[in-house]
Amino acid sequence: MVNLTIDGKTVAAPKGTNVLEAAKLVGIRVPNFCYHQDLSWEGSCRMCLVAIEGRPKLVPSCCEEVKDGMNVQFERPDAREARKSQLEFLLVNHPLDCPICDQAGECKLQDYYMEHGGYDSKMPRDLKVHKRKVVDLGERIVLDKERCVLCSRCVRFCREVSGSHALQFFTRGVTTEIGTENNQPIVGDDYIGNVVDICPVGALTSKDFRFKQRVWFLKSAESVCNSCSTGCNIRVDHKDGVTYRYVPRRNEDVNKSWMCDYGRDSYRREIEDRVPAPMVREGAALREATWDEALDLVAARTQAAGPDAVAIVGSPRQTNETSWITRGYAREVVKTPHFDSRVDGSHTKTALLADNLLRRQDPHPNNAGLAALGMIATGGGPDVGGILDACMAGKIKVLHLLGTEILTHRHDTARVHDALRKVPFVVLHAHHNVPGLDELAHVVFADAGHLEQQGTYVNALGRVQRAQIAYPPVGAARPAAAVLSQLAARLGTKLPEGAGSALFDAMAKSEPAFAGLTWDGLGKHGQPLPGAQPLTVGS
Amino acid sequence: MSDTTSNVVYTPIPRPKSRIPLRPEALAPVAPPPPKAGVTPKHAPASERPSYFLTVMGLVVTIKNFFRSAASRKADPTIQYPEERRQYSPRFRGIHQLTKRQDGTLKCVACFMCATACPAECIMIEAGEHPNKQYEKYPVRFDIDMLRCVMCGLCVDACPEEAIIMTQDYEMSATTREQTVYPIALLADRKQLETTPAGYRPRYEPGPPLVR
Repeated sequence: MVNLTIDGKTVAAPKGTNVLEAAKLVGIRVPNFCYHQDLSWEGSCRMCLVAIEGRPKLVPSCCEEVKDGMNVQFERPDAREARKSQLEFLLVNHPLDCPICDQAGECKLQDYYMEHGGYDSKMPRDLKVHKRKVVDLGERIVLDKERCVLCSRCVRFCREVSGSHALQFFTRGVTTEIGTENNQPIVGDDYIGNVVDICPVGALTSKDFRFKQRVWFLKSAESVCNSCSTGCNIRVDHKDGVTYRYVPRRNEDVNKSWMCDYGRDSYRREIEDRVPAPMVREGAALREATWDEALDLVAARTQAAGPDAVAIVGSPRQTNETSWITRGYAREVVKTPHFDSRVDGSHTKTALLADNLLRRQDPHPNNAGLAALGMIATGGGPDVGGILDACMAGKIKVLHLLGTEILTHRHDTARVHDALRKVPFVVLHAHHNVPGLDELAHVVFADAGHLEQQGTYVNALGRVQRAQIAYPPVGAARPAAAVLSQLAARLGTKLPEGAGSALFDAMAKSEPAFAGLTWDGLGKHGQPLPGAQPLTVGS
Repeated sequence: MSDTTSNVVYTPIPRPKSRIPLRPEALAPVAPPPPKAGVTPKHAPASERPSYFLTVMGLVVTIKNFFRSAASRKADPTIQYPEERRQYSPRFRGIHQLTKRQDGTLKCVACFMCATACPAECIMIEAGEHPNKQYEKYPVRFDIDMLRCVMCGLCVDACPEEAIIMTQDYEMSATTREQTVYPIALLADRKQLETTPAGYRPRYEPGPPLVR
């Protein structure tokens, strides 16, 4: 640790950190555009100038490593004046676009402008240097060259993180601008969405989110992406029960500040083509039903079939808590021998990376959690083939599926369809419509999405991470854990009920794999499973 | 600023003790007033008897105006609506109008400032990409729910583009609730705009002509 003073406050900062980060430790927010925690130090924006005793000139604090006995003065009048002047320079050619700029409301330039004053521009409006606006950079990004403050965060991201070198500086002096070669659209960079997040101004905006909402209307919830087993930490921005975007949330141990474009787009799955209410088969089609009707029907059929003729298949997309309840329902309530969660063989690929950064080959968020709960049987084939065979042989009278992955994520769709047709009663917890649902299911429980219930997921690194509730379930949908508890009550057994946080605490008390963990103790960034191998990103 | 103020410790100013000693009768319970009689007795003193003089004088004013307005329409405060209209102030806050640029496109850039400022939350906007890149953003939908609107004019104050102003048009009766939600077609192009003058708006002084 290195000891220094910043504005008279003593700070002990780890060796190698910069003055800007050290100032954060004592609550001093040094304004900056170009500095980013997960990128290299650049020092191009000069907004973070501070005075350091013994140095003849002001120093950019983002590029100054802490040293013992350093005396930093952030609030010294000349430093403050220098930052204010620098902001004025950055604003000289900045267009008056705030009303139509998507960044408005989360724009550093706006924030610092309000902070530093200097409201009247000394620059005549007609002398401003104009650059190209609304440059289409492919499927994701729209570039406005005028709004850019040339901080080079996006350039460094493309160079250091995604490796695509897509965005570059062009020309010099006052005409310097960001762009791609010949303004070609960006292709082949699966992480390019991140440049929108790291852009401190409105130069790079997301085509998908563009003009959909103003950011000050949005509410946020801290969650976890469920599009692969990495479990990137995300912030869900939503309004009135509709998600508008996912933004990565910094977690040094999992995803740094990044997330992939595939995960970024997966918010659409939470709003498109949802199953809003439980459905019951009537003749050739499904019709909407009340929860009581659907639950009574399933309870009666499960009771009538007897334990040996009921098969239950867990889902790697459900939370740990739901899976724990599912296990209880299968083993203690129904007492069936046909219980498995290896829907599509993805559990064998949980730790394998799909690219060189974050994405993994396992498309489900919680296979590791199922393994921790002992719901992934070792041996006996790679997947639920055994249960499908039993279905084909006509041994299964009630097939209860906790998710729709068996219809969507397997290559042998024809075999699954054949097997499900042989079963006289198929119960499905469906979150959105999938092909085959109308034809194969007899009862469909409308399932709450992962944004609509509290819960935890275990990612590929063995880290238990919380997903907070963003808004209540759409329509009449219910979390699967609550549905199973109600079914169990109808079958004469009591299963734990309650919010995800309460279920997690109860589960952690009884499950050795989660021993010692508590919901509150998980914190914003999660905790590794006790006994799990400490792994880092990319391993 | 808040740091410096938070350091100031508030000490209440001690109240001076009254130098006038309390009289013991001030503390005694007050006797209830004697019960009021329903009708003033006839033998009450003259000062308490009702006077009909002021009532008669009031009636004289009423009757005088009755005959005056019957004799001359000019003195009659009643107007023959809808044939006759009142003159309203140029700052009258009537139904909104979405103004246009010289080329006929809406000035509105869908910045949501009016919707943000609106205390009644009656403005619903859906933004879109303008086909003309110069304008970039425009409202695909812009609805004002007139049943919710409180005619406060904050939307006009908030608008950075002078795109929403109010007119002196106040006729907004409708037969269904759906009709009270005014879309762009009504806000920008309704027939009444040709005859009704502009109302509450950012600029009243002569300047570049306001395209309506």
